[in-house]
Amino acid sequence: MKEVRIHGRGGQGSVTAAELLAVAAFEDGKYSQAFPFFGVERRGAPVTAFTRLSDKKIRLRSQIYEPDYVIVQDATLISAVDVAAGLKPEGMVIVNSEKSAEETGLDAGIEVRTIDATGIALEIIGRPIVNTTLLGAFAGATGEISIESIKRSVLARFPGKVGELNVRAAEKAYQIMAATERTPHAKPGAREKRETHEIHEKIGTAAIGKPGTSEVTKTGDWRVFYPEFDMEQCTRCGKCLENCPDAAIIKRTLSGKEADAARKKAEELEKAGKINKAAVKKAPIRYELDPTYCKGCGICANECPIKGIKMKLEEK
Amino acid sequence: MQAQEAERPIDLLASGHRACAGCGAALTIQAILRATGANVFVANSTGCMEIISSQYPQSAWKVPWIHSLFENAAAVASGIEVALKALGRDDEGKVVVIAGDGGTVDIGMQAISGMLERGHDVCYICYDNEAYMNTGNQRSGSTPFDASTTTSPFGKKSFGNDRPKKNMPAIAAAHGIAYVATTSVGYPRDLAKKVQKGIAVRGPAYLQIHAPCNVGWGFDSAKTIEIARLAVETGLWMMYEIVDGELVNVMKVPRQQPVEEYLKQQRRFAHLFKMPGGEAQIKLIQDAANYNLERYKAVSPVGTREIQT
Repeated sequence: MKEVRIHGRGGQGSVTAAELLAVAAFEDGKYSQAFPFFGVERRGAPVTAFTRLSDKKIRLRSQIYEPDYVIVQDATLISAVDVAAGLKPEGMVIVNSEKSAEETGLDAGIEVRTIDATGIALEIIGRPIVNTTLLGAFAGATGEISIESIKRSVLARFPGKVGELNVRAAEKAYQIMAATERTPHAKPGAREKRETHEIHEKIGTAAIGKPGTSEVTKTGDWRVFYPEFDMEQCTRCGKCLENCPDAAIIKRTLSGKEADAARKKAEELEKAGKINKAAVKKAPIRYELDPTYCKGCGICANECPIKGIKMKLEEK
Repeated sequence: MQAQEAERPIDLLASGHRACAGCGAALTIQAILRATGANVFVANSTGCMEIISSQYPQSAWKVPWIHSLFENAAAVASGIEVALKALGRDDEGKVVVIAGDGGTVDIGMQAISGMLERGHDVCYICYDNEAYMNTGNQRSGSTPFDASTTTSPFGKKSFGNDRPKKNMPAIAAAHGIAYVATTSVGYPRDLAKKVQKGIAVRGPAYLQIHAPCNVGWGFDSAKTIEIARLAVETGLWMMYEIVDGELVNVMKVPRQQPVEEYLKQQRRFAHLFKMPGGEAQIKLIQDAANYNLERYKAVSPVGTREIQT
């Protein structure tokens, strides 16, 4: 029996991936099982899903604590969650990242394989939904399942064009992984136990003692896109700030030299006929993103009356 | 950062809460607390806003806050209100309930009715995202006609939820309370004004705030406000006040949008555009919108009555 744990963020299709993998295994003539971790996860928050594959009937019904394989849909999770927890010594972690295995920050001694699934998904599917791409990568990297079964499973779930695009993305990831030699396994070193409950220690009490302590949760790492403000065209209406569900937009008034510089720049723009006089007065007022908490929903960009906010893909 | 003067919004719901990106309900809470200021005691029933704001051991609330059961936020708030009175501390702030539509129009109904009828000095605010979103989009009494949810799915023999939204503001008003209002997260100034009236009035007040849920309704997270406004512009969500039993201050819709504009952007209504017979269903929804506008206009010729505080 092989056990797979999938780490993702709510909305990335981790549970769907676990199910697709289980169906694919069934297509391969195996027994399989898929289930999510039960919790209160929201879109963007860390989530976990599990799949078991076996040639024999699976009687085990517990959560997976010692996986053979771990799939990480979002590399930013590595700093927030102990994704390799309980990984078997000969196990493997597949990470969606454009970086190399060494750069993922996972402990040496763990076999890590990376693939730029976001890049592939954006190129082929047009959306940063990476679950099917990573299943292709899983098939290519592990050989535990045939790519044909993955394709059949995806098409059965998503018939039509959506399914076909997902299949193409999975196929591409499969080819990349299958063409790369599996590096001989480094000697499994003793892993240091990582502290995953730092937040708890910081607060140091068993009750919710202080108001506003959610600020220790940096929700900025949920983000795929971030807003970029065009402060030259901005009319300082404040709609972006007013409509931010995460209080992640900061209004700042420059003072002293910086204010003078901002005014001077605005005066030049006014002379060039790009902005009006009223805008010059407001030049020292800035609206800034608080990247620590912005989840990248895009409401500010959608509500900006002059379309002066653009959503840009976050470099991770 | 340079030594500058940074003005954050009055974020009494702190950053770092776990609401989905683009959450209309979280935005509603931000707007409510901006309007009330810090002098409130919040009783919050089970639901999305409780879950996302209080993941142990953290809290996003910067005002006194208590999590009640799903059904009894109104009863808990009643208790806080009389306790404050008994302790002579009722000048310290207003007791406010914040609850979802499930906790209000279905599960919390009995406790609300009691609270309103006993005349507690509590402002009850329902954020209405039109289904049980916390548990994954199950139908509530506030789910609109023909919306597909996990417990009212569309299919060969169904267009989704086959009942119209429960008219909870009318039920609240039937208790003879001084102030009832509906508003929407898409209209922050209207929302702020009504919340302030709701807490200013002495005795119970009931507010229902339309708060789109991009995950449950199925639309792009950037469009939360746009969808909220479309609900009003189509006539599917009416914004009005009921002061001392009289319907007043109905928000006029100068240029009514066809309901398709609202429906077509949401996955929960997508089947209406694909299924045979869907067109006739859209027509029914259009009729309902037209009826709303006609009915509220008819009974609200001027509408300027103000509340007694």
